[in-house]
Amino acid sequence: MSGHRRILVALDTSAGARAALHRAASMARRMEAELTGLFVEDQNLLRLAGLPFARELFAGGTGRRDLSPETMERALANEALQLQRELKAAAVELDVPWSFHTARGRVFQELLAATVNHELVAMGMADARPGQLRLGSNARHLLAESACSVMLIPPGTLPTGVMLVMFDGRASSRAALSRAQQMREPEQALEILLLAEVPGRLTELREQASSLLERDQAVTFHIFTAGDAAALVAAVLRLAPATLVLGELQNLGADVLEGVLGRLHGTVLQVRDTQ
Amino acid sequence: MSDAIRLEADALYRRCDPDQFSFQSTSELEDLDDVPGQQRAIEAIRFGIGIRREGYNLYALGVPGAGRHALIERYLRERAAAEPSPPDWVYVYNFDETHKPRALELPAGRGVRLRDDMQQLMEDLQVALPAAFESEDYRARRKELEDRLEEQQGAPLEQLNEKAKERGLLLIRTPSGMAFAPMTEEREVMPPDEFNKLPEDERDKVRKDIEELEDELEKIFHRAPRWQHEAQRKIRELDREITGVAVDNLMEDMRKGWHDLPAVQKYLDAVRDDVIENAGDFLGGDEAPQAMAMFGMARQNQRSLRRFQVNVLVDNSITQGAPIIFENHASHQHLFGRIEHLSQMGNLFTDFTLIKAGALHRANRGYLVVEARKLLSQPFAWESLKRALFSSEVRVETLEQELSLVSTVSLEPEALKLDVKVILVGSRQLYQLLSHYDPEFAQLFKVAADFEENMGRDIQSQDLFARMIATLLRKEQLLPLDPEATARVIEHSAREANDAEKLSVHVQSITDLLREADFWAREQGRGMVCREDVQQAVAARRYRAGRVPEKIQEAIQRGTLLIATAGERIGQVNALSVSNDGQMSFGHAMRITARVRLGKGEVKDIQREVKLAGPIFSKAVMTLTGYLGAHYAPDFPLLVAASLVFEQTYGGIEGDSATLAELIALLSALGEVPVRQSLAITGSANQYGEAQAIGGVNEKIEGFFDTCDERGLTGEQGVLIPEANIKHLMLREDVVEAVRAGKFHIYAVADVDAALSLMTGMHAGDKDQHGRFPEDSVNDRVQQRLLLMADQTQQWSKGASGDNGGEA
Repeated sequence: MSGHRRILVALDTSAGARAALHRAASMARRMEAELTGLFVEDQNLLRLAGLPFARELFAGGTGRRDLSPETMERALANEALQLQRELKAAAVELDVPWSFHTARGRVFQELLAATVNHELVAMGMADARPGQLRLGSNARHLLAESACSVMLIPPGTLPTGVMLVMFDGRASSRAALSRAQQMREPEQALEILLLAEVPGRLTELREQASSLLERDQAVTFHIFTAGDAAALVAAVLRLAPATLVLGELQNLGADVLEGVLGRLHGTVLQVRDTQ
Repeated sequence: MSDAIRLEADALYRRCDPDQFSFQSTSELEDLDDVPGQQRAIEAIRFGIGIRREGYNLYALGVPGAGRHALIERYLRERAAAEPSPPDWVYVYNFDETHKPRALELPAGRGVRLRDDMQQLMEDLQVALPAAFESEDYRARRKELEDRLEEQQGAPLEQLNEKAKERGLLLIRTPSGMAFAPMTEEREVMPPDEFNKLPEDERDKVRKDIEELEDELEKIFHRAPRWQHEAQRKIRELDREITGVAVDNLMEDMRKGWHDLPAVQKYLDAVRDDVIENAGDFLGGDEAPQAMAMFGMARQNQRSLRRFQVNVLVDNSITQGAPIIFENHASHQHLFGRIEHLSQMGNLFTDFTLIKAGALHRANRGYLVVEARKLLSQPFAWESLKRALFSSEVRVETLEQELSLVSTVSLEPEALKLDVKVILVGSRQLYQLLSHYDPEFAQLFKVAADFEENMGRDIQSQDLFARMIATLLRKEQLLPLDPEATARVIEHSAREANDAEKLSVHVQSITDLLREADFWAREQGRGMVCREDVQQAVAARRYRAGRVPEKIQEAIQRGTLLIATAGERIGQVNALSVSNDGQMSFGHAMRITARVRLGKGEVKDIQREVKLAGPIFSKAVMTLTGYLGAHYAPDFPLLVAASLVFEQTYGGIEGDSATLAELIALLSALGEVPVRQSLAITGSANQYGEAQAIGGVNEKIEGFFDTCDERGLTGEQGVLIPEANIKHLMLREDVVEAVRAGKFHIYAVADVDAALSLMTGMHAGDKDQHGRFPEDSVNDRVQQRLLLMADQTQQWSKGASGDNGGEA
């Protein structure tokens, strides 16, 4: 497969979603892919608006407002219109073919349904904060159940810096390495973290990884041979990649994933081998 | 009555004796420091540039080419070299009032240093500040502040969320804020119909719980801005601290170099404060920390770093002594500087870096030399210069600002303290005009250096003149002159002065003659200029400029211009005039005719009547009438009407040098006495008939000589001049030789009668005690004619009166 041909971006008005939109548009241009924007009208909000005492408190503490199904419908329609404009502006600027869709229901379900026929889904993520679960239920569902690759983008990250690929030799990590080379920004440095259960495998892993590299591809290898989940998380955080690329959860365990995603100030790309 | 004096050839040209010179070549002579004959001007220049008082500026007046610039420059350089070098001036950004750039006075050479220091500082800051903001230390401290904010905001929300869950409620985000709703077991919002099926007490409890939680949420929301504000303040403090450390480190060494200048220290303090407040300007947008963008310090808010540049307005790093500026183009902007503009996106933009110095800035603490005519012909330059001198300040202001033609906000650069000596170089006429019409002129230009055009001629001055020639030759790198050539140049200078007893000190003319003589000497392959070369230069110059006089002589020879040089005619006289065609002055004869008839005692000059005559000419004609009445008709009415005409003239006439000629023509007509046409006359006359000196005597004589020479000299021809003009004679060699050979004559007359006798060949006649003249004298004939005319008029008047009475 030469690359993703259709990229889905989950749209909402959060800073993370906007960062995801721009990253996805940039990627679509480089990969000559079509950009699909999806805005899900959350059924929870519609239900809330139908309740007899429905009321929202403004975020700035400036007051309260009673909600009704009509006001909620209108607010969501406005939000959809605004997001469509932003999608169009980002796509037109980069000369990328685009389409915009809305769906109504549970957010993660609608997203999962939309990932069919897409090679990549980009989604915003809250920035890393201590003491907070960074992965929302929607992101968690996507990582676990998405049929295509998933990219989680926190706000304020830049498509430069180091792209770190976690490589353990399995099929999914080989796919991750290949995809990483395709998706890498031109100025982005490529580094590989070799995950060897035993030190004796390092040479083999390095040869495997090298064979997958494009010609004249400059790369820096790092190694991790032993240690628990915390040590691995620390090793990844020490390398502070701007983009972390990994295969299908790579047998890492929930602790590692949560640890990394919770504290890494960067983009996470989980590659799903669809071949 | 005196007789006309026939002048000997030696009186017509005063030679310079080459034997008076002790040198064989002018190369042996020492240089002359000053142009001879300009002692008065030199003293004035020395005084004018020496006195450092307000209003003691200098006006050097004289004719162009008199060597004013050279002399002024020489004395200025002499004085300026001993004076201290002026300071540098720079313009810097005014951080308090941005449209009023600050002027800093710095010791000579340190303007450029400040500029370079600031440039280096800016380059260093552009590296150091991004590095400081990218440092681990900064990131960690910043993250700590941001995390604290998140904790302050996030923890209460988390607690509230947990509390809500315990009560079966869900805290969810809405498009504009947050809301609470009852939740299902799947942690989704309970559908409304399901909620409505709940028992009433449960619905009430939900409502009550939600209201309670909403109050708590509202309190959290109210506290949030305060936390954010506090966090922002701390982050700003952190940024200032980081920036301050970096700036202070970089500026520490730089400041040491400027500790002696409080004004610069103050400027550097302002720079430091501005950098700290606007650190974002030094951070590339892409490299700027994300949080910086949040707090308005990202690229979009970058202001130009141009404000930290230093505009070196005047750099005196290589100036030795006080500056001397010769400004040839004395326009307003060349004198006072200008503010340039750049075009950006179609808009004009300017700032303090685009302020350019004018001549006054460069000449500050020194001298500015300007041509008065050029200065006065430039709009507003003179007025602005006076204002600057009065206020002792120079301010860069564009003409548009001066005239209030633009109302947009522009720069108002701080004025510089001005201490300059202005030297205006101009003509006498301009000096007089300014003195008369501009009262401020006398206040500002109290010293006049009046340049002489001539100097006295004697043995000593001729020696000095020879040294001046030698000086000019060396300066111009020309061949030296031998004593004969030197003498010829001196003689030519006397001719240029139109005075045998004077020498022209018009440096430009002398230099030109020396250059041309050098050319002819080199043509002949000589290594030294001899008399023939100078003579050739003079002749060639005369030939080159001789087209117009030649055409006039040709017209005379062909009979187009009627000039007789033989025979006698009543009422017709050869007068002489001098013209200048821009290249040289030349003389030629003009015919004056007079006719008389009965009248009321008026002498009408046709030129005057048709307004082709100037006021001096008119005055001369009126003088004639006075002479006529007083001399011939003191006791009877002057009842004559005379008309005088300058024949074949087609332009204006001015001057009184034809008074004698007009008088002779008039008396000839009245006395019916013929006048010799072989003679021409020039000279002014007063009411007593005394001959008075005129100008251009040499050219006039030569003009008539050429006419006669063309026709063949008869020995009868000649020119009458006033006695007072004898000393002015420096005639051409061929004229002198013709006189020496008796072929041509020059006569000097003291009064009208002397001229009348010579030109009519009859005795003019002296008046006796009764006011009568000897019988058959010219004057007697004139008087008798006037008496007759008076009598005829009386008879005619009686007849006319009787006729009238008869009729009555």
